[in-house]
Amino acid sequence: MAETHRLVVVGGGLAGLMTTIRACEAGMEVDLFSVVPVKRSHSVCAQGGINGAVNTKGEGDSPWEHFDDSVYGGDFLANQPPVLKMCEAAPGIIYLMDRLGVPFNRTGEGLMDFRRFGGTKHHRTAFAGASTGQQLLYALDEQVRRFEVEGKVRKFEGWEYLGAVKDGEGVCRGIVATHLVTMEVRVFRAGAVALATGGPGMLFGKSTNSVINTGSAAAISYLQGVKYANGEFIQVHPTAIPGEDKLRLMSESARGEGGRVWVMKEGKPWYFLEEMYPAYGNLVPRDIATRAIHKVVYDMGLGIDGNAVVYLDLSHIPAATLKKKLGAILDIYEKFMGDDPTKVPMKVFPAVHYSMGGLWVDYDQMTSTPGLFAVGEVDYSIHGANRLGANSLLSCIYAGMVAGPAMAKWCKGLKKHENEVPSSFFDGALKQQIDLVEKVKKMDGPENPFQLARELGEWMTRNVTVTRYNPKLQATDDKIQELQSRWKNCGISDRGNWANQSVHHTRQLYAMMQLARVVTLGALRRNESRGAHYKPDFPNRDDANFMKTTIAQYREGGVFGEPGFSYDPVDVSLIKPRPRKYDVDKGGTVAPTAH
Amino acid sequence: MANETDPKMVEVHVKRQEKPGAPSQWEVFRVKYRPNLNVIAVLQDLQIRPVTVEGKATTPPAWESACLEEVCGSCSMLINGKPRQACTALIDQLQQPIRLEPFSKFPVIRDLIVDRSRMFDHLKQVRAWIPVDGTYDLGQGPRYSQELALTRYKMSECMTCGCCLEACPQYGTHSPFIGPQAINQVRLFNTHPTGALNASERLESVMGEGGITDCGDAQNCVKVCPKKIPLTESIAEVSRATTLHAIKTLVG
Amino acid sequence: MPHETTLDVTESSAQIGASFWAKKLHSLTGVVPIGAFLLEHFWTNSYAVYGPKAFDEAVEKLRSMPYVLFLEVGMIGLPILYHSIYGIMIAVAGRPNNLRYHYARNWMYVLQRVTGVILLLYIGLHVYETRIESSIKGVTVTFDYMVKELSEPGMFLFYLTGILSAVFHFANGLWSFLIGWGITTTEKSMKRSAYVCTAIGVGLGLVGINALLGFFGKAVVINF
Repeated sequence: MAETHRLVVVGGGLAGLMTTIRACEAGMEVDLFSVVPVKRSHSVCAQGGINGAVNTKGEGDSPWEHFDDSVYGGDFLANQPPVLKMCEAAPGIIYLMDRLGVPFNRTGEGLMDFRRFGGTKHHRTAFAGASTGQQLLYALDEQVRRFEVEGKVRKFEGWEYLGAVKDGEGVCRGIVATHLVTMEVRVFRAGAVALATGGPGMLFGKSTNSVINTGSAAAISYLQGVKYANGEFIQVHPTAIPGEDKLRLMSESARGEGGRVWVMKEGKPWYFLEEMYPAYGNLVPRDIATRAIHKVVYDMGLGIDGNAVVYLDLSHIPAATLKKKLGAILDIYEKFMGDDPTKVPMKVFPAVHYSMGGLWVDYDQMTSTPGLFAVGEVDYSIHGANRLGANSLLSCIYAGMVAGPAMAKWCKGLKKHENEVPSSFFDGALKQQIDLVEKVKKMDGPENPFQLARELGEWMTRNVTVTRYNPKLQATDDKIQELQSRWKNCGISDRGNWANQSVHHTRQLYAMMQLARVVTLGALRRNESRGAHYKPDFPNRDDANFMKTTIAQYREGGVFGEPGFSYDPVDVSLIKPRPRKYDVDKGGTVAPTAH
Repeated sequence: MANETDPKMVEVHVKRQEKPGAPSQWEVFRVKYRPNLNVIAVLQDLQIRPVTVEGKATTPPAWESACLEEVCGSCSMLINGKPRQACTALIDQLQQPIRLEPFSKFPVIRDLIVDRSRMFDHLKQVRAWIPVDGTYDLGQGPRYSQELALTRYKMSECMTCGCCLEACPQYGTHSPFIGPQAINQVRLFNTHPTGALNASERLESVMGEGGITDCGDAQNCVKVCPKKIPLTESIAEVSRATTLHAIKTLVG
Repeated sequence: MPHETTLDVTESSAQIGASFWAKKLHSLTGVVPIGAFLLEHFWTNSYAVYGPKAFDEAVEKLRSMPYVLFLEVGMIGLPILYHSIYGIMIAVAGRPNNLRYHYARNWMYVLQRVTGVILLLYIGLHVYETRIESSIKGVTVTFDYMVKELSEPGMFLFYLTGILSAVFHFANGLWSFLIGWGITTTEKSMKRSAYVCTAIGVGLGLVGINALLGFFGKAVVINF
């Protein structure tokens, strides 16, 4: 009998856990790696819900309608076939999560309740209190724990991915990883590897992402030659609570309930959204609101007290009304800011929220490196140029459902079991990584790696998020290269060989800066406006030149190498692209009768 | 050097320990005050400038964190003696000097990082999952009321942060007691219509050494829980269920 | 460190451990028979408020019950012995942290253990004096005997402490019992039972002190 294949899954958020579960169900055994206990993964931060067109409200919703909303919302940059498949799978995924015990909010009949979210006219979003992502993650975490007890999963929590190990034919046969406490560096053989390592929010310093979302695993893959796609598409959420440590989401519902956005201008409150967009006022779509706030703060210098914040004011609404309608989210504000938003205006600012781009994958979630898969936010496949609210949890779970069986199938086609691959390949990769870590440990220059990361974040946030100008993008790329040279002169104040977070951070920073260039240069080269990518100098969508997937591949050049770019056509075979605007009804498309 | 009388400084004392078994000592730092600082932001400042008030260069304090929104459970530590999440510990609301220590009920790994893996083992012990037949499409889940959904949601918000265990006089390395967090999970899964099908298995998982009966009713757990989970109600509900289960096995 | 599972959870344990029954028995014995005996004992001692004759008659009546030795040993002695030994095990297993957590319930937690230890000493001496020593010496325990005992100030204080400890330990133990047996499960019902148990404690405390004062003719006599 053939020996069972062991898979490696890196990352224990929704995507990684679902990949693990599906792989186990397909008869595989899985080594699951995560920098934190998987229950602490970033999926916990998703608040709103998960989309699925179950049509329980008699609105005539359908997976096709969901599909149309998604590709329209994504401004026709996503390859359409996998998006349709995801939308078709969505109702089943939601039912599954309910069966797993997620405490979804219910209707009077005891069915799941659904609410409306941005970019759709249907009640399509299932939710569990104010922390749906947390609840979905826990449900999958529990199932994986069950497989762990049954011996099908081995967890390596507190381990960080350092790179893929490839055999002589360039096929991924395992990984190198390091333990964050013992600092041990080890290789792990695998029939196939899946990266489920989430987004790169930390490129922007402060974002709505968890601090573990460095994007370094994706960046390392890019440095190893894996294609990175649509890196320039970064979603910014208009209203987040600025913090010294991070930016925390403030739900759109605050504006929905009558919140007004303003700053001081010439000594008086200026309700700029109401003035700029009289028709929609404070309820303009996310990207419009975000751009207006950026303009007021950065171009006009009107941020509150000179800081990058504007007021989101609910204090004119009776406290009792607010408590009833917005209680949970107002508690969050008070918890982190110490102010009561029913009495004083909230201070908010747009924040980097999600990366639509990521590692390029085929329809089986396999990257351009055979045997290396990518799932969830780290892959680029579903959201095009802009993600719809409550589609991220769905896409993560869906990707895992595809990847698990696909990896099992991939293993069956392997000529050699991973244990038969000559150890020289592994020894070489191991030595390379150990050398790198040792090099970092010995760094003795004047630069502080944490300071460099702060500078990187400030530049990226200022120039590569909401409103993009080519000169500023070019300046940012120059700055990143400057930071890269300064990185060589980093000094590590901690010489210890135990839980040395300075060494880990410095190592991650190297990869992060590489990925930052991919994002920045991708934006520089895309001379149009599409979805989250907005250039005032090129205000329109340009389908003729840019309805294409940006592909970045690492190549030698300069001091640290650089991204080379190419462009792939987008599969728009199912729905013909049409202009995306939210001031009028988006119009619809009719599903082919085969559906 | 920071001016000692400068009110615009935040003084923070951090208990340092290089590795397991190493001696611990306090280091005193000052960072510049800004509005809305929290303990995480102060620690981040120390990463950039790990210099004590005496001007001694040291290593940046090590701590765990991830979401910084109080939903992941990572950044648990003792702040001014109380177990809580560092992300919601606002400097404006803390008495200075601020004292940061690692949890005392778990082995210290380094500085403020402790090994909480025992908590996850306990989740295995109580079989904290719904034993579904598989993740393939088997249709809808069971119907239940919004009231039950709300009750379960509250219990399900537990992020395995360990605050309840840190405050529990019955819990610690000296004791086999499983603690409130795992007992709460027994109730969480036994109240689900599918989970109830193997309720007795979960009940029996807390009816042995270190189980439910080791609770001493000090009820500190519910006071320190950052998510305000009704842990004492969960303990009492599981007490009821285990008592009935025991009686049933006696007479049944 | 690489995480290694220390628990064997691959097989369902599927049984109720001895420790479960042991603790349940500990909890049960605290209420029945020990708690019940406490009530009876306070009842009998309350005859002291009527003076020597009433008290001596009440005691004599108890002493002349059939199977008295069996009752004393089987229904009182052994349960108390079990409750004490197991209680000490519980007490040493805890790590009180009252200096860090000043919550009222946490004080109850530590007081329950402290009063338990006090009671062990108190009951030991009390039983020795009133049952064993007297038997050896062939003395009958009477009102006068008790008056002589209690006239020593130290002994009076010792009895007072013992009585109040017993009352607290019983009342607070009853509150715990209601949770441990799943009778009160909501925060509301726990609060309610706390009021009830406090009332029981205060009432019993007054009864106990009154009986003690009865030996000095200073008790409050209420006849209704």
